[in-house]
Amino acid sequence: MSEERVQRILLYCGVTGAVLFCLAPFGYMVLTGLSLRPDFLRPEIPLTLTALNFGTVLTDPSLHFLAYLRNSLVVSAVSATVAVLVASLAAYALTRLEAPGKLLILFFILGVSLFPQVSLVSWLYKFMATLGWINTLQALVLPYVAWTLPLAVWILYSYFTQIPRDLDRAALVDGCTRLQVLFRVVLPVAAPGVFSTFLLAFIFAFNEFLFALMLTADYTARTVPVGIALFEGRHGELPWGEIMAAATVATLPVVLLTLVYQRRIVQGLTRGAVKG
Amino acid sequence: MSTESNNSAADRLPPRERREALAFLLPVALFLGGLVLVPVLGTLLDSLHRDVTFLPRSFIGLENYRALSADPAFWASVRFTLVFVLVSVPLQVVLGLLIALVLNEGFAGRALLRACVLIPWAVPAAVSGRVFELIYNYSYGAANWLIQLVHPGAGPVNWLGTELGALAAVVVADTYKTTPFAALLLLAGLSAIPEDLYGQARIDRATFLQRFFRITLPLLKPVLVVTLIFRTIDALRVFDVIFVLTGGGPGGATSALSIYGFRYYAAGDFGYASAVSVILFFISLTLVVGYASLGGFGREAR
Amino acid sequence: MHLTIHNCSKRFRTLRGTVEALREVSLEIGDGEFFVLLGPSGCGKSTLLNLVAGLERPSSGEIRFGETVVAAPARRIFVSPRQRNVAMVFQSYALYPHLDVFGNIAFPLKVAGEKEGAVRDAVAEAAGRLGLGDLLGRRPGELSGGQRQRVAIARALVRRPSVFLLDEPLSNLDAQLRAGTRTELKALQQELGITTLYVTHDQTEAMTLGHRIALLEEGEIVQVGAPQELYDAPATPFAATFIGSPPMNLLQGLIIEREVLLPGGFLVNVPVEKRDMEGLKGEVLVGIRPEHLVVVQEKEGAVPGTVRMVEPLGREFLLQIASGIGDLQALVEKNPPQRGENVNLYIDPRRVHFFFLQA
Repeated sequence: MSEERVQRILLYCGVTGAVLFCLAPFGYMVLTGLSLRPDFLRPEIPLTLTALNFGTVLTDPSLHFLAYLRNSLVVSAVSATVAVLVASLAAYALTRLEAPGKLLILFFILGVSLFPQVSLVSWLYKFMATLGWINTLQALVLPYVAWTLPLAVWILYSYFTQIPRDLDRAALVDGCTRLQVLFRVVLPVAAPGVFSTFLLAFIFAFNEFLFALMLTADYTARTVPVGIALFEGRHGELPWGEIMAAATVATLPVVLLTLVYQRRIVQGLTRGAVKG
Repeated sequence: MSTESNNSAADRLPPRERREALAFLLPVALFLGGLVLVPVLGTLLDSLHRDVTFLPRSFIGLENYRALSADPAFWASVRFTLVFVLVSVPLQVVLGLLIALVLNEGFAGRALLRACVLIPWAVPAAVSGRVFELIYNYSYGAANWLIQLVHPGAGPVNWLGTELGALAAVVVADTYKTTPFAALLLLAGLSAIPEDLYGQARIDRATFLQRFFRITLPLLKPVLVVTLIFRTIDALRVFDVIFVLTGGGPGGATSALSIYGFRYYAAGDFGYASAVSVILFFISLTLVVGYASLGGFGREAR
Repeated sequence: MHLTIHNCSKRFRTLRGTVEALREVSLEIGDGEFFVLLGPSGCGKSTLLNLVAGLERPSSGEIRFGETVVAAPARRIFVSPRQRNVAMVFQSYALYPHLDVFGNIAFPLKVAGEKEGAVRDAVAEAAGRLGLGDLLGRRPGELSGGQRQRVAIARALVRRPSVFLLDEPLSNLDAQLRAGTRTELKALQQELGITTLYVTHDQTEAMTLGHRIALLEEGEIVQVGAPQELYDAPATPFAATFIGSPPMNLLQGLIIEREVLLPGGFLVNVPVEKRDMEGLKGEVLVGIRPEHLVVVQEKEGAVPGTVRMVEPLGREFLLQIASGIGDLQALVEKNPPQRGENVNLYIDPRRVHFFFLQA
């Protein structure tokens, strides 16, 4: 057998394996959500499809699932927007303004992500408790911005360095202030990178668990990951169908974003990481 | 007023420009300082105090650390964390490399596969943790169903109820969630290797395996090290998946340091929990510095 | 707008120490003048332009626009570029890729907060002047090099700047386009009468465009003057070789009384008007332009040489000659000698330039 052939076969095995690995648990989740009974894999149990679980999750007010979803979307969108804004100011200063000691600042920003999340929670809790913000959305937005900033700064930094300096200079001569240069020239020109950064920050915030677990108490601020993690049955036995239906709905926004903008996300992720 | 002193004053960054730069950096500084640095330093301070809810706070020096070192559960937690890192990170990097190699080939539907690979990464760990909890269900989960399908005689495995089973369960669930990230980093590294090199190697009649070991791996080394660093930092502080899947059980067998520390926070013993956080941070730091010197990054940065 | 640059120096701090990009440069540029900064790359000409634009700050010295001081570090005065009302055309054109041609030209006006209608009129006028009327909806990426260049010029002119700055604006164009655009640029400047500062490394551009030229070398001004002055009376060997193509021939010489001794023992008379030049004694550099070397029949008083190479330039021929006084370049208009032929070269003493050797 020729080497080409072996390689071809290996490739198809790899593709199949990768698809199975990535999609099987996801598919199992969706299927369980659609199944009348969660134990449909048992030989004696028939698979009966139903929308019942989805109906319950979306309509039963005592589950508060839609509130969780709303909280998640609001918190993620707001914190991603703020993170991108704050990060672009910093990336602009670091690429354009000859800030003193900029490499040091850059590595400090990266080093911040070395701290384990668990080392922040007690003081974040104290802060938010002092402000009376426990179980509010802003109590999540602020730490999420801080938590996604290092990644955002690094990605934007790498995009901004690729914009020719002459564009800035032209804009300055054309009458822009520094801030106008950033908002009227640099950000629009770097739009794809800015969008990648926003997507990543959004997904990071949407998926965050520990802060949300500590800083929220109920549906007024609780986010989807915590909601699903703490989803317990009302009658002892875990309602797997409902949990999986909720999980399916919860992952829908991020999965859709990922499928539609996969190219942007991959670019942003690898820029932020490999560039350094 | 000598011209010389004048000149050197003007050569320095003009104050207005410096102020401008600082103003642009201020928001980042506020966020990172106020919401990361202060909490971290606060945690460091807390670790030197007896700081328990309803009790007066008092400075006790290294007493928390002494208590830690005397707690067998702490050492079990350290051991589990390291085992978890040692098992899951190489697994994730190897799997990630395989996926990256596949994605780096030209074939129809490559973009589609890349999108599929992203899905586990995009799903919140708490959610995929919940899915794996069902997969590992003793009586009707997919894992035991698969085992019986492949090997009809084999009895169901009590995944989440035994130490080894729980370790395997946690490793697999974490690998599912994080391999895509490793794969994407490595893919970026792979696509940066010039195609010409492979053409040349083919002309030199290098076999598939020779090309992999002589060209791909050496050129991928920097990215491999970066991937290892990222994955190690993340794996050391693993929380979501374990919290959802086993809660640290059975009997503390999967109680990673984050979980161990979190339990004490939740119980209100802030001083003790902070000491755990500090130790976790220093383990991360040590490993990263070790990797970095291994990969020769100190030299490049200079 | 009259422009004054007084004793300006610019130092850059780099990792390897301080680099002096400009040293005590002083220039007066008249209102409406087309002034060219000429020099090889790294001579500081672009830095000087940036100082005028306000994109860099001088380390010392003073810059005035008319009576207004726009930069004087000693007095802590610095006017930012947007308050100077300058316009600039960059070598890379620096068009905003996210805006169409209209957006690019309108940009300075919109930033200044002009009214919608006024912006549209001004853009239409500037675009019409540069023949861009049909391209207003295009993105820079869809334009040819020449079109981009026009957009850059239109964007610079739309605001009626008091000073017009151009940094090697033609060097990204192909040769044919360059000559055409050069002519247009000159006509445009004459018509608008805006004080213009033009940076180039191309002596032909400098000669054809400038009312006056400042020649720079290693951060210092070598010579300022009208193009013909620089050509006729170069102040230094550098000026002599940088201006004029092919460059002036330079030879070692020794002044003996009223004659100069060239290598190989040839003597040339020092012309009467140059005999009183101060310091004209001892070792000097003798310069003669290729077009002033004449191939003659008679051997008497001429320098013998052998033709090494004949390069046809179209209108004339460039000869590379190995002669008794050294390797020379000569231009002849017709009947070029053959390669390998022996020729006699006549050096017209009145056309000879003398440069003193630095001690």
